[in-house]
Amino acid sequence: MLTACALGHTVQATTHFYCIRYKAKTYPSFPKKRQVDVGHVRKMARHLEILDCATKHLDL
Amino acid sequence: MTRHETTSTAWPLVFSYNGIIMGRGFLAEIAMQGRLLATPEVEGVWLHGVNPGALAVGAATLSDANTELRNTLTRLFIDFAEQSATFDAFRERVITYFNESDAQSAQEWEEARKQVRAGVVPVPDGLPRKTAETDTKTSVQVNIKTAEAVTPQDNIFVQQDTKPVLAAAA
Repeated sequence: MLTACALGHTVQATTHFYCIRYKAKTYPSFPKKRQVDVGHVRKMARHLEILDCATKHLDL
Repeated sequence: MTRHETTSTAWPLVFSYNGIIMGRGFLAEIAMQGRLLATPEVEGVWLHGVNPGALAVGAATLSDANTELRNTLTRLFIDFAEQSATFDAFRERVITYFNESDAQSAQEWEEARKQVRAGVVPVPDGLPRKTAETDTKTSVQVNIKTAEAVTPQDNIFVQQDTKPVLAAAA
């Protein structure tokens, strides 16, 4: 989804989270769990201002 | 929590976070009051950050969310400390994180407060109610703390021992 909706984004693994950057926005608290609740994905997509695109790729 | 069926109810909350983070050669004392929008779901509650905006916490109950919120912020600030060579860099990171939000979330929070004030949405059970504008204003402070200023009361042994951090804005 990030590849399709946030071209040029970066993902950095920190000790506790993934830090996702896109354009001028940073989402530093994305969980590292294998199964991530949709609430985290929705909030991250809204914060990075890609929610419309994300909802086309995922069931948000 | 795996179900995501939401209702139209949203609670405008404020939270406070007070804690000491150990960084690279410094102790940082963080005091913040932020805003969250809470939405009840079938299997629990979600807290969506307004200030800071890049935050989401899900838990079975508001009480659990209270604990999870503090744990999430503490883990995040430890990450920031690991990435910061100096106290000034750490301070800037925390303040930038806190202030990064979006207009839509802020507007939804204000709308939710109107609903609570109008009596359309009741305040969640067990949460104190904050009505004054000054009590719901956002703020963040990050100060350096010297070793001489540290006291035994700065230790947090069990997260549940900390004061409740959530309150309803009304």
